[in-house]
This record gives sequence, C-alpha cells and structure tokens, in this order.
Amino acid sequence: MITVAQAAIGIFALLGLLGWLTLRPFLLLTFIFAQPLLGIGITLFIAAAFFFERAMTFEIFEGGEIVYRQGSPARAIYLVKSGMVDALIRSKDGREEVIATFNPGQYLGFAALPPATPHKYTARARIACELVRIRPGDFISIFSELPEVKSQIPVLQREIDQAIEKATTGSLQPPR
Amino acid sequence: MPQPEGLLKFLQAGHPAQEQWGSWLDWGILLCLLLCLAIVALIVVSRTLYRGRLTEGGARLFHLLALGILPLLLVPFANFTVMEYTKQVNFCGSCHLAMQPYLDDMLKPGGQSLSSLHYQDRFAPTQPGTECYECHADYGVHGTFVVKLQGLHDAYSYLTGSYSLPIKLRKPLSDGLCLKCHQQAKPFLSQTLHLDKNGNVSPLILNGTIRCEMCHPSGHMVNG
Repeated sequence: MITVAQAAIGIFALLGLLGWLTLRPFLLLTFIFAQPLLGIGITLFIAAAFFFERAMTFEIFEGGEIVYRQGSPARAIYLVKSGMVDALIRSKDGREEVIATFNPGQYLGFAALPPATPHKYTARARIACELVRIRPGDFISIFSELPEVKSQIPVLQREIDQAIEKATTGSLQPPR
Repeated sequence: MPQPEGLLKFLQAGHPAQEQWGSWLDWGILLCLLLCLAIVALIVVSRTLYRGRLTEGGARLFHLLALGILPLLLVPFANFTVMEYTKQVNFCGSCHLAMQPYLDDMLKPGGQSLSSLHYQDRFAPTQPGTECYECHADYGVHGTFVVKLQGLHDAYSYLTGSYSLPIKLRKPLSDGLCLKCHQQAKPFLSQTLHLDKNGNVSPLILNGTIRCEMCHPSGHMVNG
C-alpha cells in the first residue's frame, strides 16, 4: 500500500519537476490533471498508516540491515518468520558485540511491552529475513495467552539480561 | 553558445525585461520545483533505507513528509502557479506553429495592429507578460475559467493536430473585452462617436449594434 502511494505521489512530483524545468505546456497540463494521483497517494498513505498501527505486518530486512537501535523507543515486537537476527550492544571503543541471536519462531523487542522502555540492544538482520511486526497491545491480548509464547518470553529475556549484565561487568558498555 | 531552454529561457529571455526576478510567478515556480524535488528525494531515500516499511524511527517522518505534508503543500502552490503561468505570453506562444505569427505581430517594434499598440503601451502594467490573457479573458473568476477552458480546447487541438492554418477565432471577440478598460478611459470618452447626446457611452455600443471591430478591425496583422 505504501509502495503504491509512493509510486502515485512520486509520478506526480516527477511530472512537476519535468513540467517546471522544461515549461512545456503538455507536461504542465499533465501535471495539473494528474492531481487525482496525489489524492490516491495521500489516501493510501493514511489508510496504510492506520492499518499498520492496528495490525501485524510482514517486514523484509536484508542482511546487515538494522531492525531497531539500542536506546531507540520500543514500539513493536517482532517475530522472526525466516532468517536470523542478531542482538548487539556497543562497547566503549565503539565496537558492537553480538549477545544473542534470534532464529525463526522467536520474538524480539520485548522492551515495547508496558511499561515501554528504550531498546536495550540493537537488533540487526544477520541474513535476509522476514519479520512479523506486532503492536504491543495486540501481542499482549493475543499471543501472550499462548503457552509456547508465554514460556518463551522469560527465557529470552533472562538470556539477554544475563548477557547485558555480563557486558556491564566486563569489557562492554552497559546499555543506556 | 547554446540557447537556454525551458525555465532558463523563461528567466532570461521570456521574463519581462523590465521586471526583476522575484515576482509571484517566479517564487511560485521555485517553490513548486523545490517541493517536487523534495518529494522525489524523500521517496527515493525512503525506498533505499526502508523499502516501503512503515516502521520505527525515521521511516515515519519520511513517509509523513513525502506522502502527506509536502504533497498537501504542493497542491495549492502548483495550481496557483500553473494558473499564473498559463496567463503568460510565453505560454500562449508555446503552440509555435499556430501562435507564433500572432506573437510576432504583437511583439513587433512599431507594429500598428491593436495587439502591438496595446503591447507597446504596456497594457498589462500589473502583470507584464500577460497581454494575450488581458485582451482575451473577461473579468473575474468566470472570465478566467472560460478562457482556460477554451485554452484547454486549443491545447487539445494543437496536440492532436486537429486545426488548420491560419487559426481563427471561434467567434468574434466580445466588445465587453474592449470596454472593460476603455469604457472609463479619457481617450475613449473624448470621441463623440462613442457617446450619446447626454455624454454617456452610446447605447448602440453597449447593446452591440455598433461593434468595436467595425472601426478598429486590425486586432492582429497576420498574413494569410
């Protein structure tokens, strides 16, 4: 949906650029009469924003791409559908160290659960992966009722907390 | 040296020589260009960084700017600027083959046609460069709307080649277009032929019995 919105508004803006740079009547008139594209794009964007805020969505990350950064506000929980995601924290000398790895079927981003706190670690895709982005409220109301998920949360949290604790007392900088 | 095209040509040659850069139209064009450029740039950056995701952090701001705020800002400015630009003599002259003789006639130094005389007299002092529009458009929003509709029809004819040379007016120019300025002008009122016995504008002129073009026929002096 966002892609279609971007395409519609992008085409309109490109027509504007071409029209104004060349001042060709045909392009300028096309630009003006292409305004419905703008309406479509904005409507789709609003619909997408509303939809994304209320539902689970698939997101694709390439290897090395950041899912979220340490210290950034946590707004969603992610389920690894395929691929692998590393949890990293930064040392004093700026070096990032992997403290955990999330595999398919595992969740990350629990800092978003109430009371939401900033992310304690950076999540970075190790390889290309598909994640399901879930709003914390939806996560609580649906998934936390499932026994396998409920049992997974404390295990993961404990593992990560231990790694961060180790980093705090070791060579790594404690998370903010 | 290569001749400038498009916007550069307008700013250098097409821009009224007496006017410094900085009219409403100039600013409108600049603003539209910047907004279009910003939208395209934000979409490209967003596609590169986030590939269409509406995720945390910067993606939200990118999407909000590129798909919400800037396009909404662009709409009024684009409409205003295109509307103003289509009043320009340059725009009318864009249909080169059909309109160029009329444009040449108007711009000819020392020309004797009505259009040329009006141009030499700087008939459009508040909006230099809009002489075609000033004579061919009636008063107010309605006049602008009608003339833009006719202009669209002309553009369609030009683009599809469904016209024949020399081009002709669909119907004679309304006397009201002349009278909108001349009716209160001293040179007009000093001609007794224009007035009735009480010194008012002759009803024969007002009701169209006597047409302006009967005595002033040469709006444009174009061969063919």
